[in-house]
Amino acid sequence: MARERECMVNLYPLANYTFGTKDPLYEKDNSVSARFQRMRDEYEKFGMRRTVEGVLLVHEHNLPHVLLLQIGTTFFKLPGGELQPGEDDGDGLKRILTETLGRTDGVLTEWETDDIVSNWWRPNFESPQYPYIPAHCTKPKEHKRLILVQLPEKALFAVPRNYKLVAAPLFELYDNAAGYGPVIAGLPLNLSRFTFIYI
Amino acid sequence: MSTSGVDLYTDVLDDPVDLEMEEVNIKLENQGTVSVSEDLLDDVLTAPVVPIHNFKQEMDDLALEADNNNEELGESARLKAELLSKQTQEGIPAGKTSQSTSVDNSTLGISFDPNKRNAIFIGNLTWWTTDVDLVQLLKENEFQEVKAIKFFENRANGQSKGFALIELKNEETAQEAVEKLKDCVIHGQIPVLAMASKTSAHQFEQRSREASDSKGGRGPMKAGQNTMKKSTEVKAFSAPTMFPPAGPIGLQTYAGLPPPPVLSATGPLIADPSQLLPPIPPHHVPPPGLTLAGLPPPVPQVSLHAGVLGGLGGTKGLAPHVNPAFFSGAQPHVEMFSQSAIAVAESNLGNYDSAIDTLRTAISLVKQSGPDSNGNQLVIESLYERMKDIEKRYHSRSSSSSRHRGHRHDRDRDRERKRDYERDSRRDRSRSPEDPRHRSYSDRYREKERYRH
Repeated sequence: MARERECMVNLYPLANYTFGTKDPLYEKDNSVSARFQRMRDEYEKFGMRRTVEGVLLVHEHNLPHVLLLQIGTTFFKLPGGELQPGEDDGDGLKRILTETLGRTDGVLTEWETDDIVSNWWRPNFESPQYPYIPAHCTKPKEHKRLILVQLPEKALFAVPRNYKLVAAPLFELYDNAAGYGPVIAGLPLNLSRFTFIYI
Repeated sequence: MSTSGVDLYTDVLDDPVDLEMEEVNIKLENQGTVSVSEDLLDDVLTAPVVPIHNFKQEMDDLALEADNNNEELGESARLKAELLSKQTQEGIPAGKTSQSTSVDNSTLGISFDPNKRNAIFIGNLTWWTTDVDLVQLLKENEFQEVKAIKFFENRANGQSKGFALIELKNEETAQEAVEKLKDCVIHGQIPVLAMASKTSAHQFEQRSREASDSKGGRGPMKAGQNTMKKSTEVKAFSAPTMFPPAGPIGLQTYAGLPPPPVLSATGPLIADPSQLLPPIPPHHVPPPGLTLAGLPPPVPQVSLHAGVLGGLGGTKGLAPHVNPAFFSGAQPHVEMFSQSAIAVAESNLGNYDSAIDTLRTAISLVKQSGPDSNGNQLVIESLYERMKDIEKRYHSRSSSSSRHRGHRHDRDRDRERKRDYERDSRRDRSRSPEDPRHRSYSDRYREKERYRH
């Protein structure tokens, strides 16, 4: 008889990780319009944009917490970014994570990127994204993939000075698209398929 | 905003359908005071109001996907926040950036001018008709040059509304296409065609709305409904044919059987929709996020110190894309804002939903605005009064509006309702109130529908 497979994921307490700062890391675009204009331009050249974002988890009180980069007081995002044309998901995510949170002393952090958490598509050069491609859409403009990043037991993260790194408990994100947008608010659902081991 | 503030707010807006005056007696204490820099404030404050002047005239009740939505604003807020932090770090006083990054309408999906002479509308499409299908259809009819295709979509879920704007070579070809394609069949439906214009855009929009209304649009689908309407029944702009089905599909339906007329719904029914709803989750208290960086900062650029973990509850519990704490008790702001909201609502009287929407948004904004509870409460009261007034006027005009169907059922799903309402009121801020699709309660309706799927 076939056996269902459980995905086990080790989580370590937040206190296992230390956080430093480094030079600010700015977005490529200065405004919303610039952002979509660049998306258009690049679509012409390279086709659909591929974005990867890392879901980095820790635990507190045996509840998973998602590491989010906070800009200002109200905007949160997952660490991640755009892949180069042809770049592999996992490799690209590791590259971006190293840029975003990697240490400045040259010591490499081991990121394990084995599991896809969710996929989102942007049908137009506009902000809506959906966890599916609408049926009438044959050419989505962006594919965003969220990947579970298994952290080493201990690590030091260097956070760009223009961000804060926060650990958001799942219950905070659950059913809270108004606060975090649909992608992040969907994480508690996406992550429920994993079995977490709190170490 | 403090946790209790959020919680309080949800409790208060218990039943948005029957807004009672007593709800006005909320305690406004405990709402966190977060001072936000002026320009952030400007950005969001103007969001619901500005577009009315900007393109109300043009788009008005057109509902041409006036796509400035919350994400967008969130995005803009984010970029702004970043800009701010950039500035502060460079020692430039934050403050004068609002113009440079305020939401740009041209990016919001209205780049299409419905008055383009070379453009046509094609409607009565199934929601699964693709751009490629349209190009194919055009090619078959010897329209080789297709400059652009823009589908009109339901923003909440991305579903096609069943009509699209096609830009062709020039006006002549466009006219030719309108004639020629009238006799075609695409996915079993006869398309409806018209030269693109404000009027036709409006008609298509109206039509798709009627279709979804009369079918319960996105409700659970009845078996046997997932079929094509008989082509003979297609009439321009009248028959709500576009919606073969948008809900979950009954298991036996997709066999490609010949279609019973859509409205008759003779097939086996999915059981009572409410049975498909998930159980009500326990009451949710938005907790404080765990801050690593310490400092619950109204100011953006608080950096981490190595190894220092701030305590729990550093940041405000709920962190909406758009900060609810705009007014920080600045009474003049509140007053001004409510006045302009009322003005906007009044000017929108023809459009009940956006009028209510505007007021509702205003109320929630004021409610979240912080400590000046007395002054604010007065303002809220006057807003409620105005809202009731408009509601009364509206009801006396149309007592059987389909718009109200949505929120009469599911009375037991209080908690969802509460949360939905809370969200909507935040989200709506960034939506353009003149877009009639964003009716006062339709968002909640949509959300609810979503739970069924």
